[in-house]
Amino acid sequence: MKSPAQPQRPSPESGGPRRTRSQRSVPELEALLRSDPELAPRFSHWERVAARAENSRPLPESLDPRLRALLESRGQTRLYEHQARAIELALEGRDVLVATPTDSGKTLCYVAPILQRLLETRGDARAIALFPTKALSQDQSAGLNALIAALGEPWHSFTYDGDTPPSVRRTLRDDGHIVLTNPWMLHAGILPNHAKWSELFANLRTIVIDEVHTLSGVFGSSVANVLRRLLRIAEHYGSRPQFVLCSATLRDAAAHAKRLTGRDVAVVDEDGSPSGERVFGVYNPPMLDPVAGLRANALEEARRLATHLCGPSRQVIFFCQRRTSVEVLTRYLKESAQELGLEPDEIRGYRGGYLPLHRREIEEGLRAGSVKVVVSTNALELGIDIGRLDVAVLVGYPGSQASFWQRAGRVGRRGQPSMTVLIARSDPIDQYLSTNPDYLFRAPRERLGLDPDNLVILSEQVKCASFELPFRDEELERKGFGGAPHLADILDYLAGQSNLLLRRGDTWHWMADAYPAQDVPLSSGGPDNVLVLDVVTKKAIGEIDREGSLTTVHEGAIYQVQGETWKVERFDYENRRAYVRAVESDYFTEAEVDTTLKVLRLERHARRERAAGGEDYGLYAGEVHVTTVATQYKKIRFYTRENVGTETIHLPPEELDTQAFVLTISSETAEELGLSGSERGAAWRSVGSLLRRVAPLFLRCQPNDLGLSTEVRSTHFRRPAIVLYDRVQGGVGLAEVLFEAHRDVLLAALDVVRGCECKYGCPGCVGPRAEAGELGKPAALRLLQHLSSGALARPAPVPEGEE
Amino acid sequence: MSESFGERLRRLRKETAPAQELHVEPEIADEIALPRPGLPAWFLGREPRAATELPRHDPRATVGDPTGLEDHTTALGPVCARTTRFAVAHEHGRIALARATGTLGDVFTVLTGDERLASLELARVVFLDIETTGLSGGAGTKAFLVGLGSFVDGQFELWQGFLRGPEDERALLAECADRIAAGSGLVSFFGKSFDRHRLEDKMRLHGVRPPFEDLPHLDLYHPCRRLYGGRFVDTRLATMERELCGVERDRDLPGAFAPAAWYDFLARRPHLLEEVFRHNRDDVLSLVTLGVELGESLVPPRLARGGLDTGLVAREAGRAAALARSFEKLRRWSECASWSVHAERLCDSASGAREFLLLRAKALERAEASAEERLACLRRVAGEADDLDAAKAALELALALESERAVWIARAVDLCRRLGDGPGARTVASRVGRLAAGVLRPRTRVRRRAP
Repeated sequence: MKSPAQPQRPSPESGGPRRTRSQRSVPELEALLRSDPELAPRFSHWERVAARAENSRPLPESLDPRLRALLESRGQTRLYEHQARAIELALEGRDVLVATPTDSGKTLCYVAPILQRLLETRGDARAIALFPTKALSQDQSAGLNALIAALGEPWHSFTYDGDTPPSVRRTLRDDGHIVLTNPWMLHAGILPNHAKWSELFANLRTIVIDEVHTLSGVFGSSVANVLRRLLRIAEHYGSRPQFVLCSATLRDAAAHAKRLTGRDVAVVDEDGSPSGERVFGVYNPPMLDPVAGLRANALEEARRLATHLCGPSRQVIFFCQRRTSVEVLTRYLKESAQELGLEPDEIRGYRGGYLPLHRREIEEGLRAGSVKVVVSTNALELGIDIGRLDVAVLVGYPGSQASFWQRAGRVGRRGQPSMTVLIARSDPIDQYLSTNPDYLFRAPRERLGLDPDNLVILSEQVKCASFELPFRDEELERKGFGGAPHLADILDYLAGQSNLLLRRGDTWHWMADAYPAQDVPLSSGGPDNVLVLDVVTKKAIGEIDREGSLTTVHEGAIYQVQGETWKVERFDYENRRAYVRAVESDYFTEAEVDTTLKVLRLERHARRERAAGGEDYGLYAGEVHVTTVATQYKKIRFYTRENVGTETIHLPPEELDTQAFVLTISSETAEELGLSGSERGAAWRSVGSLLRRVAPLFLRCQPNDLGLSTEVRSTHFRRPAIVLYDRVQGGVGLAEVLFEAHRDVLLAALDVVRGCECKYGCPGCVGPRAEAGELGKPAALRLLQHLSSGALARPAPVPEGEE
Repeated sequence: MSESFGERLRRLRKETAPAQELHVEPEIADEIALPRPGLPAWFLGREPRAATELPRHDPRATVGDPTGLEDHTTALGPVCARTTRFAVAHEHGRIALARATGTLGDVFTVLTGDERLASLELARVVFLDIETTGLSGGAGTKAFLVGLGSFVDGQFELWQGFLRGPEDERALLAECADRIAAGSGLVSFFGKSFDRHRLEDKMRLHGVRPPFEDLPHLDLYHPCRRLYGGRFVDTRLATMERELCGVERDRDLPGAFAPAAWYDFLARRPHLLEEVFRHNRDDVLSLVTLGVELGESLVPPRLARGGLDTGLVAREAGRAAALARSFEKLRRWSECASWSVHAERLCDSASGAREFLLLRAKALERAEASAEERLACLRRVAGEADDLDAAKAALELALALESERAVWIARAVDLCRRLGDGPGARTVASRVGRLAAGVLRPRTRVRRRAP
């Protein structure tokens, strides 16, 4: 737990005597980088965030005297403003969201209310806390138990997850006051067995959810429904718990919290914790070949920067996007340990997949200062306590602003300057940030897509809820289950179609020999995913989502894992299984798909008029039906890319009903911009794929969560159309957000193309020349310039004949 | 988690899930509410349609209520049940129910280590077996048939509480809680792991106070496993009742078919509930006979090694061995010694026999019984073979007999050398070494603990 008055951690110098290397301070380091003739020009931006003074005040009056005494005895006589405010609100009974950066002492914001409820009820109150990882909940449990022990009370907090041995579960259920778990365990272990937890639910006063900024998309929408189930069960046992939520800084925090919990949540987001001066550098690897669009590799550049940044007198953390990159960079750095003035043991990798004991040892080494360099995936992004370090290097933008700040939040000791360097990759988003660094330092701009009422997610969760407690008319009448729309329809459907439920009197009873939570995943995929099985060992070697399976595991496909090749012998489409055999293949396969998109219903429209009248460009949001058929595949030789044969694929089409965002331009405008013939097709396509790539700047998702269809002459709109659709059955709100944020997305795309030094297109902007075409880049530039300047599109009714 | 528990249960019951054999009467199916128009068309194709084909007809299927149900009204709603009475002369397998009226002594305490079972009388307990809508547990799984058997007025009364509809669950559970609490104990098969928890969970869910906490509960699965684990193909109830009590069931409906039978009944399709009632009845009756049979586990075997019925000899050898070990665990040394005699006598391998000779020697020593007998046992073990047990026996002899100490030390040292470096041999070797060096003092047996 962080507090305003805490002793300093041991400085990194305590790591032991060593060969002296320059003892540069962070400002000196910055000066060095800014003056280095080779490196200086590659830093496209430097940002300085001034030191922030502490904003704190005495412990809140409403805090129980015993808790005050406890905090005071631990030297905590004052709280940061946000801590004090959040605690006050929670003690008033409000639902609260604390949205402040990592390491700002959020833990206390929920620990204090939980303990106070326990004190008030003489140990009757119960709490559930949800953390995104097991490691986090274990950390928290130890801290909580220490506080409880200091209060001299016989209460217990415990972690309940897949690692909890069955033999102790019963004791924990009966004797635990604070249950620390994760959304999956709540969903599949606790809620379906709520009778075993009747003590907990009958006295449940507080629900804590940590890192709620991670709850978006399919996962977040599912968790929102798990929370509806949780509140429903609590109500059955007669309790109405309050929420205390924690997150990184969020855009529209209150709206997000409301969608997640169904309640009006008070937001506390003024960070009162002090911070030393922070320096940010954005580093763009040099363009090696502007004609081919080839940029220097970001990992190599990280290695180069390490020679300046690492040293015995400071602690540096590198964040990579993938596990393999972590291993590669760790190896590079260990090999050059001597050059860095370090022992190889002072340089460590850290990622998921390491044994817990090994991880604890690295965490401890970071806290104690004996580990000088750590290379990590996002595993160290969340609230694991490793203390604050000095320099962070982000090899590539982590995909969201929240992640960026979580990672940057790992550095900055009290009263000392710190540095964060972002190395841009050859990717539109990274390139955008290198030319538009302002994006990073202004208020958060990405919106979280969250739709608890997505029909598919909702109906799956309604199954789980029905298993737990039958739905009654009365519950629907008073808008139970978060007032979810279509609830009665879904229940009738489940009763009529598949006999999962039986309607008797005013009640829908669960009627199946099944445990639905087991078959309902919280994130995308799950039962619809295709399992890839080795025919020899009968073991699963991989999993692919339904849509991806068409192009990767059709019969004859070469399936690749970590450089190994497997040939698909049989694809059991019905049972979602692909059987593969390891082969030494000198070719890989590339499938071609035919995507047809049918507009079902358009709900929103906006358009801009041409000066001469008629449409300039138009925007739509609505429902579409997407049919994807795999048609044929090519066998392509590795390295030479020589086509050595083409075969037909025989698979049924994949059908997807979802929400989409549509951008159209009139033929007149296309003509005016000089887009004609084949040039228009290539430019239009590359603009579409660029929009898809940069959308995550404003919409929390991965580019892969969006499907893309570009047509130069759309059958529905009879003019050029770009359709970006949510790749989740039913959609989780991405299209709606795109409609709102389209201007931002277009501007970002324009900035990327305009700022790119390549000549004909590259992976960092409109795509390589082979895809975008010789004139693709200038055409895309004209188009984006036109669309993102001038007047905004105005809302308009959907034109007749298009709805 | 419950999944693995369900799997375990399926394995224990060795049942395969039934193929979907559902009758759907079209005119009844039409009554089910059709989806409302509020849902989009694409969504309506998602759920697999329940089977509508007419499967081949099962001649055992009936329509409507199972026979013999009687309703009565309770404060919480209607409860319906079928009550069947059996004369105590009724034989289930080769055991008459009347035999359950004898006294048991502490046999089940010996077999389970549970002190509360010491005063158990089968004539005053409730025999419990339930049929559920699934094995996975969880709030949505219902016990739709609760079989409770007990001796009433010189007869055995089987009460089968039946859930006519899900809405009556609370009333049935409350009635069951009362009836279970009325007994002086509970007897089940695997019920400590399954039946009890299904009922307890549902009772808590419905706000009914579960009766189980204060009730001695004999789960016959555990004594069966202790006495006969590994002796038969498995430890299922059907196997144990056949092997131990001679119960042969005729066309028994496996429990895994139970959920479908109840769902068919609810949907007013032809159903196999009569078969489920029969299966449940046989399960409860088998609890009685198995209880009687296991209750007589302390009767000494009347068999000798080399008897003609090798299966029976093996079974009795297993029982004697398990009892010798149970009494050892309970530190009841004289009973341990006498069951070691049986175990040794019935054992079909020489090394197994020596194991029980050694146990008998230990028990005799602890019981402060005949030293001569003990030494004779040890001499046999130490002399007959060259294994670890022999080394242990030699060490014991060296400790006990001053006059022969040198000889037995030499024998033990020799054996340890030949046995190599196993953990057991190391322990013996180190003790022999210390004895030879005069560090380990020969025992004039001091009792470490009161017998």
